[in-house]
Amino acid sequence: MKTLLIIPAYNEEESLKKTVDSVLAKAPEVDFLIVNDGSRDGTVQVCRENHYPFLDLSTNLGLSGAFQAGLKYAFRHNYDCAIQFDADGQHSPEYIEELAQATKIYDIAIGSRFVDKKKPRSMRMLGNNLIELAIKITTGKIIKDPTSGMRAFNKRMIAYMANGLNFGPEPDTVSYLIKRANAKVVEVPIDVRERIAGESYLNPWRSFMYMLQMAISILFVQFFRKKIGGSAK
Amino acid sequence: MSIVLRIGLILVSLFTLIFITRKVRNAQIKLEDSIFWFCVAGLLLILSIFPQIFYAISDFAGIISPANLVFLLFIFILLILGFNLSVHLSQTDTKLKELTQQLAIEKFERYCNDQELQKAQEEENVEVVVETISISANTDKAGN
Repeated sequence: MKTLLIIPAYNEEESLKKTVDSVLAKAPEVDFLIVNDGSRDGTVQVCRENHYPFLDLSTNLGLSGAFQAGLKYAFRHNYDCAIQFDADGQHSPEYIEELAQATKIYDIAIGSRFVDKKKPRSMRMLGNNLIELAIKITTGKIIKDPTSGMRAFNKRMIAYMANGLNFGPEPDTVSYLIKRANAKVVEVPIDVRERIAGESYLNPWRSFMYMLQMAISILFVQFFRKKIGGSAK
Repeated sequence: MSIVLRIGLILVSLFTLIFITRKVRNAQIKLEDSIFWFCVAGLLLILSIFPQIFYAISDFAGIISPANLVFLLFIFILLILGFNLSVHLSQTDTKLKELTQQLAIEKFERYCNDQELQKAQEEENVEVVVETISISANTDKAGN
């Protein structure tokens, strides 16, 4: 089974090396690919000096565009599984193998922080709950941690997401794939660490806008999208 | 409507038409995109010469002030235009994204190919060196 770890990186020169080194140490059998999303810092130098394989996007496309570039590479080179992995060191490479194994049976495996743990009470978790509710209303599936940034996709999903429009690595895509492509989703319990360095993209205002956008997208816009069909193995 | 206002309107719509024509002549806008503006400018000109059209329509539709009809019509035209522009921008955005991704992937694949070629070439070089060494060893023996 060929697994590709896609690591989108935007201005991550400080944490990238640590993250990749931990991946190399803990999951050496997995191929990884950094996608430099038009960074303005030394992300490219870090990749060159350490001979990391990386795609160099000439302009900043945002997370969805960068991840899709990785998916396109996975599609062209016939990978069985593609895993979304943060460059900032939040995700532990110990769970890569588990997620990859899960995609043998399921279409999408989500690394979930709250499979058997209670969610802490905070504004962000309120947003998380809202998205969970929206997905439950539209698909009937309960996904405890829809906003998790560590997801694994199998070959069928890679083909859709690499070549389609509006397939960003976000909860609304997951709900769309469940509803319109009969995707089977599983949650794999993971632990998430605090980021090593750099600044989080999400401030309160952006988080709020993100949640609002996701809720509207899941509840209303996804209904108008075309059915893809297909079925799980 | 005063005669000054009418002359003013006709002049302005004439200038608009000339302005758009010049842009097309100087190839600053694509012909396909300019057709819409030609229609708008032509409409403007016709309406400024024959404002009776507006009076007749608003009478027929039961609109008290013809000015409201003018606003309604042009706001609607602009709304459609705004949406079309948004669609256009979205498509351009997608194309740009595809190009960027394609470029990055090709670049990486070329780099990988180069590396493999270099490796193969180095191996070949090593073989050649080994061969020459063994040949020279043989000739040495023969010489002895």
